[in-house]
Amino acid sequence: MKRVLLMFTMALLIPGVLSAEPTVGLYFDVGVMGHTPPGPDTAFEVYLYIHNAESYITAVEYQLLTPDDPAHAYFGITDVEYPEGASVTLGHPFTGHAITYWPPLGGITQGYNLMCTYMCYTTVECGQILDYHLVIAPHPGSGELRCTFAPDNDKLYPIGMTSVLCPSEIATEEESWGAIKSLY
Amino acid sequence: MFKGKVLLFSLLLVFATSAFAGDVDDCLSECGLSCEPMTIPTCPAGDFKNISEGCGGTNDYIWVRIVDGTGTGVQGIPWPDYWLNACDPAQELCLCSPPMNADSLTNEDGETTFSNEIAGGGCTLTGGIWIACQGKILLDDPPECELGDPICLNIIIVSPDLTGECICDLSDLGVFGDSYNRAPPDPAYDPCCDYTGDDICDLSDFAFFGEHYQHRCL
Repeated sequence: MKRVLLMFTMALLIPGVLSAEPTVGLYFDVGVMGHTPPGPDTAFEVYLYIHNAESYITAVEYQLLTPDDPAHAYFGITDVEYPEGASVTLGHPFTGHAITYWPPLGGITQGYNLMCTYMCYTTVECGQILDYHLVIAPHPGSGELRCTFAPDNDKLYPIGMTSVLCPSEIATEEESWGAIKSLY
Repeated sequence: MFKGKVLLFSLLLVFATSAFAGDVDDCLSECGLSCEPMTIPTCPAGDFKNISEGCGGTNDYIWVRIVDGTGTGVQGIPWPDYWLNACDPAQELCLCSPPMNADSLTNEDGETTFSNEIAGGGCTLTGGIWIACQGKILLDDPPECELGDPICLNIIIVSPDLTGECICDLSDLGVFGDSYNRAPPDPAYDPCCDYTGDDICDLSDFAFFGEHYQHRCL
């Protein structure tokens, strides 16, 4: 019985431990990882954040994958903007992107630190790309998704998050609302 | 007549002695390392690693013993009266002025050490580094000394100023980018980009590069 209770307690603790891991992901607003773009060829911003980094981040390398659309035919990035601390960059999000930060990013526990902002667009209506995944993946050059932190630029390995464009739940909701309106 | 010759000889002796006293003798003076090989990442702003970390520790140093023509230590040489560069002219460094400061004035034996940063850029992987004091390069023991061969200390110098122009800028980023995420035996790997000494030019090196981007001589 004791063993079962211990295992149950451990199982309860695991999510807490996992949630403390640093993550890198794309956000559309505070804590929002799903978004319905305004329409084709209309610009919108997507924010790359590191979350739960307890260290002062000095660099990151990653690749942005769109597994539903490997050639990026339906989603594009026109520009990448960097926060004030970003000093040097190599590559592009789609092909492998590395950014350095000096002074380092804040490293606020439980906080979000902005790594860069994409200016994005889609080429089709949301209905054609439902649940379009934006995956933060390892950099193709190193095979790793990783960051470095001050003072010695040692490495840490955050978890890459997946965000969703045109989430089907919202689309269904809109359709329902349209259906309701059509009743009148 | 004899008295005159003695007087002349004495004067010559005094003159010769005073001419050598206190003047750096490049042949008799020496320099060396507390450990080797030493790898020192440098930046034109003089704010990269200290010489004291050159072999991975915290107490590493370069030492010099500066003597005059009589072998007597030259005391009180100021901190900035030193220079250094690559023994191989093809790997010449770009150095700021002064490139390094001694830890103290030379003592009565003409000795002092260097454990702080070097201010400069470029890359010297082979052939070593010579040290000069008051404009004189410290030379090997005779007979190499007579040939003008310098003492080449086993030091490797790397810098984010990869092009050796005393500034870390876009031209260096181009060179660094070519080597990014490369390791031997990849021919694109450039050991001059490896600031952490782990035989790969990766994110840690890139972070150091970014830290020193746009740094120049102060």
